[in-house]
Amino acid sequence: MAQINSAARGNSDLRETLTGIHLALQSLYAQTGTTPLSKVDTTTAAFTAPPAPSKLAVNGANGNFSVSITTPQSAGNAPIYQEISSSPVANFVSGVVTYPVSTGTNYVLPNPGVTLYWRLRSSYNQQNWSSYLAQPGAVSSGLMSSAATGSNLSLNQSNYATVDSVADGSSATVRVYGSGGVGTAWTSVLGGSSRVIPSGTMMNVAYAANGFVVWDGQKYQLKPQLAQTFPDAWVPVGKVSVIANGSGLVLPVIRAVVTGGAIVAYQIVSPGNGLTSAPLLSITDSSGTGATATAVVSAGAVTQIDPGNAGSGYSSSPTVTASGGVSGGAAGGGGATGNNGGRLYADV
Amino acid sequence: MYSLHEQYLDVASGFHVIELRDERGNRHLIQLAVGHDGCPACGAVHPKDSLGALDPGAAIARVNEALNTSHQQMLDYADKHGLIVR
Repeated sequence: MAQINSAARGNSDLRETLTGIHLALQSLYAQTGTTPLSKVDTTTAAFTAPPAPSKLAVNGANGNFSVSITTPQSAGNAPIYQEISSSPVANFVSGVVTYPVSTGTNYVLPNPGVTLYWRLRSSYNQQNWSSYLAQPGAVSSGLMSSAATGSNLSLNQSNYATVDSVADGSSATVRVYGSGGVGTAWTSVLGGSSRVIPSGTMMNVAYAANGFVVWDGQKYQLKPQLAQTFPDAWVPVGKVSVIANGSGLVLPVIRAVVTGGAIVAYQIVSPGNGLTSAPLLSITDSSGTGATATAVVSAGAVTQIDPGNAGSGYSSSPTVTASGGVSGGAAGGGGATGNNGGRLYADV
Repeated sequence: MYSLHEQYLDVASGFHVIELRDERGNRHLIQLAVGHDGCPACGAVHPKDSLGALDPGAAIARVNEALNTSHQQMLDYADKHGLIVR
């Protein structure tokens, strides 16, 4: 009121008019809950208008969303910040995920097996944003193929089981056990989780049976085809091959060539079959001593004999005997009377 | 010590499944193959020819004895050195 009196300077009509305006404004403030405006010469915060909307294109494939943003031509060199958000519903009233603000214009967002709606808004200063620009229609990311997954993702599976076979009379026994030895449980690891699976002994398994051992949740199964171990809840354990002397392993027949009492060469009469390691060669004779030789195996058969010491005093017909030939097997090869009728040759 | 917990014939896989358990809940499975996959495509299982010669009781006793022997060896070690067993 002091300001009104000062301004009117004794002019009662002017003072009455100004007082009326003042009271009317006070009434308006009370009704609207507002306050008087600041002086027009007070410095206000700088306002930067948002840029024109950028163009948004989202495509889904192989479990990923590929986001591509095209900025307006008039943007010049000024960086434009983009804020992308998605929602499973078209009106974005629920399930909204807002991704970090960035000036980037291309993203690949992994999110397999979902269908989402997408929208975008732009800003020069991350304070004043343009209105949202939504891409028409929903986009499906699709399913991710195993080849598209990175290493160490949760799909990775490993186990700490040993699978082997031992001869047991007319059949073999396939054993599954852990690092503690036969009869100890083992651990299956799938991504970040693991579980302990009991040890097992499968008896009465026929020789010459190649199979894939799988844990079905209750027991082990021995399947001839790898694909038969693929049901979702099953745990592939290992691959086992059970062989025996009489059915799977044929030892080579080697003959020595003697000149002047020394063995100067070897003849491979029969290369053998089913060998998984070089057989041991022992050379016996009624008079000669000292000769040594080493067999070279390829594709299950002997392809070469490397002579060692030639020896001396040999007769014209020394005997060369091959034994072993099974990786990890006992000397003499695996067999029904041996202690290792088969071998594990691969983990799944 | 391990002892027989349960046994059953699983027709789908062709195994006589025998489960042994010890007092701590550790499990060991003995599986006698009484059938073999006759058809990899349909999974049909056919009985083996040697079923008459199979002796499940002897198999259980043999495996059980092996498991308990190794178990007893550990208990003997604990007893020798005065260790408590958990």
